[in-house]
Amino acid sequence: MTDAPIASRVVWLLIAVLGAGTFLIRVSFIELLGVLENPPDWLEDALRFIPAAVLTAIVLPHIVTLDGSLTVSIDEGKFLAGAVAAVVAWRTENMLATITVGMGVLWGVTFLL
Amino acid sequence: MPGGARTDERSAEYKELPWRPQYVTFMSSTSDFVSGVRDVSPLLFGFVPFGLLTGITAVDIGLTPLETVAMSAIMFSGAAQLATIELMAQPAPIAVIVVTALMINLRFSMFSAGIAPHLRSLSHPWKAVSGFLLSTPSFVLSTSAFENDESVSRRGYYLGTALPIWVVWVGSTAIGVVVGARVPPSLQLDFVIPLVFIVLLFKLLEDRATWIAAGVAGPLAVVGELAPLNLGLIVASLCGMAVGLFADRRWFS
Repeated sequence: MTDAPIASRVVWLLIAVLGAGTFLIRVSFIELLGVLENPPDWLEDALRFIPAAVLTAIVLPHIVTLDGSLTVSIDEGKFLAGAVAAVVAWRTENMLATITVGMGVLWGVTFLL
Repeated sequence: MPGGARTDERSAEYKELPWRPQYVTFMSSTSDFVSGVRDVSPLLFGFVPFGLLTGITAVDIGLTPLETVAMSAIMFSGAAQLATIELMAQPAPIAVIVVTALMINLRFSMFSAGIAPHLRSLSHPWKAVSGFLLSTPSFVLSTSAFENDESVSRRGYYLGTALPIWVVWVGSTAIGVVVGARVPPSLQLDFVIPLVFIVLLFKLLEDRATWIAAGVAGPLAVVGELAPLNLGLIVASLCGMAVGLFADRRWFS
C-alpha cells in the first residue's frame, strides 16, 4: 500500500461534496417535477456526449503523453496493453475479459523489458 | 394473501375496486418489493467485479478501508468513484476532482427525469430515498414495469430493484478492500481504472456523434496535460461534448 496522496480530511470532504452533488443530480427531477415539466431536448442531447468525452479524456493521457517540447512519448507497456484491451473491449464489451487481457499484456511487457 | 401471488393476478382481482383498503396497499407494496428484487437479481452479478475493483484500487492508492467503503455507500456510482480515485492518486486539485466526477454523474439527471412521473405519488422522504438509490438498472426495470402495469406499487417495486444494487455495491467494495490490502504495488493495479473505462467507453460509443465527442476529447486531454491544475481534462471533455452535439445537430440529423 502506498502512502495516502491526499490528507484524510480532504478525502472525507470530497466524499461529502461528491455524495451531496450526486444526490442532488439524481433527485433533481424526481423532486422538481411540476416545477420543471420535462428536460429540454438540447440538454438531453448534451448529456449523452459527456460520459464518452470525459472517459476518453481520462484514458488517453495514461497511454500517450506530451512533454514540454511537444514530443509525443509512449509508455510501451501501457500502450500495448491499452491497444490490445481496446480490441477486446470493442469485440466483447466484457469487463472481466478486457481487464484480464490488458493486465496480462502489461505484466508480460513489464516482465520482459 | 399469499406472499408469492403474482402481480398480474392481484391487479385483476383489485382493479374493479373503487378504493383500496390500507392493508391491500401494504401487501401490494411488500410483494411488489419482492418482484423487484427478483427482477434485478440476475443483474446484480454484473456489479460484483466492478465493486471489487473499486475497493482494490482505492486501497492501492492509499485510501483507508473506512474511506473506501463510505465512498461507495455515499456516492454509489462506479465510474465517478474510479475517476475520483484516479485523480486523487495524481493528486489533482480538489475542484477538478469535483467537477470531473459530477460531470460523469450528470447522466443521472436524464434517468431522474424519466422516472419522475412514475414516482410522483411518493412522499418527499421516499422521493429522496428513491433519488439516492437511482441507477441505470432500476431505471430501466421500473419504467418498463410501470408503463406495462398501472397497479404495480411504485415505491415497493422501485425500491426492490434499487436497494439490492446498493447492498451488493457496498458489499463488493468491502471485499475488494480486504483483497486489495494484500496486493503488492508492483502489480500496477491502478492501470485497471483506464481498462474499466475502455470497456465503458465502447458501450457508450453508439453512433458517429459519440465517436466524434470522444475523438475530440481524447487528444485534447493529452495536449491539456501541459495546462496547469489539470484544467485540460475538463476543457477537453467540454470541447468533446460541444463538438459531438454540433456534429449530431448539423451533420447527422
